[in-house]
Amino acid sequence: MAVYLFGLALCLIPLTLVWGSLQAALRLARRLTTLEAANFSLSVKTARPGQSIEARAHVVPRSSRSITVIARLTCTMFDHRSHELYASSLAMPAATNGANDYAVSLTLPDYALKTGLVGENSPRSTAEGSRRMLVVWTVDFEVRSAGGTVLLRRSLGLDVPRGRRPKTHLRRMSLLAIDTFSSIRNDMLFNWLVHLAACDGAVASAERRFLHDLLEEMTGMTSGGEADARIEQELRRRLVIDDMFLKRYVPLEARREFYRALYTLARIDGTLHQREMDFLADALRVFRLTTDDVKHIEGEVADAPAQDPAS
Amino acid sequence: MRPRKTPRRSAPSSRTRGLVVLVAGGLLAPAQALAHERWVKHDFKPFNRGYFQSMSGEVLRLSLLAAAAVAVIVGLWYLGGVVLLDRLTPTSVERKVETEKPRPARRPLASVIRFLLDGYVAGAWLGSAERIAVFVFARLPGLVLLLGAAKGWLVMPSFPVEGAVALPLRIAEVVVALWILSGLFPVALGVAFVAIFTGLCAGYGLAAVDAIPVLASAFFYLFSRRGIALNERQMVGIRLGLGVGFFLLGLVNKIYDAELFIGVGDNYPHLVTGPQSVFPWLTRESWSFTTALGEMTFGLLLLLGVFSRLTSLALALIFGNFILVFGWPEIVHLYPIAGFVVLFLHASRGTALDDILFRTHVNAWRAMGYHTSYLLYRGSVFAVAIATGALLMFAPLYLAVEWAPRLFGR
Repeated sequence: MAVYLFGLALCLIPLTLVWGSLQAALRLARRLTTLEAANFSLSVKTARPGQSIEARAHVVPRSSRSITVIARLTCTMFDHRSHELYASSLAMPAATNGANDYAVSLTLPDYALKTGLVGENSPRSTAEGSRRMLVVWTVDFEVRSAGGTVLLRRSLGLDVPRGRRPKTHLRRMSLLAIDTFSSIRNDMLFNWLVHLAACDGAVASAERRFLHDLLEEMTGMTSGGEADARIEQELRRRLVIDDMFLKRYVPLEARREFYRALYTLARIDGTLHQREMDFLADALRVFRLTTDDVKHIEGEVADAPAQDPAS
Repeated sequence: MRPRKTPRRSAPSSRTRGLVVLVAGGLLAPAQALAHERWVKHDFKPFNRGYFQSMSGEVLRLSLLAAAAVAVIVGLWYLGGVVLLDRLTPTSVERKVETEKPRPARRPLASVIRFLLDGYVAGAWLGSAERIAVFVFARLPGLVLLLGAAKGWLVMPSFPVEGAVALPLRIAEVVVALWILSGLFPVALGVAFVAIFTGLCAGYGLAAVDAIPVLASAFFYLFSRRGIALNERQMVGIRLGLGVGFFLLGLVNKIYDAELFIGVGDNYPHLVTGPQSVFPWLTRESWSFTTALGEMTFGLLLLLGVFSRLTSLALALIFGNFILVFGWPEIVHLYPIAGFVVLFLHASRGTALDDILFRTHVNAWRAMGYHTSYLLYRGSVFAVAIATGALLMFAPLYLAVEWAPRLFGR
């Protein structure tokens, strides 16, 4: 019996090698046949929270192929595997027509975590579990074809030495996740609300007013022009948090309240359009909520449609 | 009253030593049962002993392949298994819904995959099954001892009880069996098991490797706490005892002491001809060597906790096969099978390599100027997997093949 099981274990070697080689070969072939050159860079290697970073790309496609380049600012926490804590994706516009240069400004959030080991300099660092997390920031570049196929991925590291220091006694990922979600919540909520408002074509005037009010309440922004610029900026990026992380560690009530805000905005004009319903269904999936979980929320919002989603 | 002689090993010389060993052996019935090569008929015909004493040619190739297999499996676990498990694990919300509306699993395939990937699977039946398995594992050594007392052997059929001390030893065996069955003073029982194992090491030297799995029971009793059916320290203890025991069962009894297993093959030819029909290149020597590699591979994976449930299942199949092949005398193999069932039913909380992987990644991150990426993480997994295969699989093989025969003058 052990001989046969050993034979099966040996079969994994060629299978893994073949599968890995095929994947690598396909990626290389796709890269070589579609792109002539690709270089990526960042304006800085070290950044502080709130600082803007310019991400630059020089991508030359073969035979005038249509491509898009995306820059994704990501915070990843590693233990014995990786967990994405924060990701902000932005499509990179062409910097100069015809020069194959792309650039975009990424802003490190004010609540950015400090890169490095959690509790590295703490006297408690010898305690079991207190050094089990490594927080890193990267800018991940993706070159996609017109059909959305990823042609090339490249990742550049970013040091954030003065970021928010996670508590040194932090021993469980759940605390870090909840902490991160608490920090990101308003930012993420506004980003999602903007995308929800725009999902049926354009941001309607009632929705825009709603978003302006929300910005004023959240950030004290009173200028309509600034608010519109912010809305345009949010439309260009999609802020996400790792859904696996979200569903596992963020409490049910927090996720329900997030959905309440989205549903309130969707109902602001009195009706739910199909695209809005699709967006909400997608939100339910990301937040791992069931229709039963949010049934009473939808009932409450329908009865009181003028609620403030940020509350 | 003496253990049946193997071609190379003599019984302890002094009467006291012999008595200690016999009493120890009586308490170690489950562990010795693992070493069935020593007590089923194993008279061997001449074979190429040099095959097992040189890390070259086929032995080198097979050893490298075994190390590579371990590395690949470790890599697959971290780059595939863990990620898939995370994807398939339900959230607290989903668990709540399942609890509120009990019904057949909505995604049975996902549940099965999650279970096989060592994930937590909700279910009252699973909890009950685990409690039963723990109870059986805790009491089964007692039944084995009672069987030995009834049949007239102390440890296994190879050690029949004869002469003037037969009755006292059989009574002692019954007393210890009743102690185990009573479940009283488990910590003291654990201490006794550790002491017995130590005594056996002193009495039998290298042959005591056969008794390493008894440490699974020793730790199980030693770390038991009132009101808790099975805690993590007990799990680590069971994993250590059975994993190391199975690993050495292959390394010592089938490579270093190859005549034991080749002798079994000579007396039960279908054990060799069966695999030869699938792998025509197998000789008697390579059959023994590949069987050892199989046992070492799965013993190592069990020890590390990588694909713990699948490994437990594979090892339970191997032991179940012994019972099918050799019949009633191998019934004592139900003891390790009970241990594997416990490991199979209990959700794992990580592997022994998790912390090593984390530290390797951190060191790589420092070496790369405090920058990392998913590629660097993959590289760390690769390094840990290769190191595991090299240090925990190839190095012991090299020592057993190249150094041990010279060191012990074989």
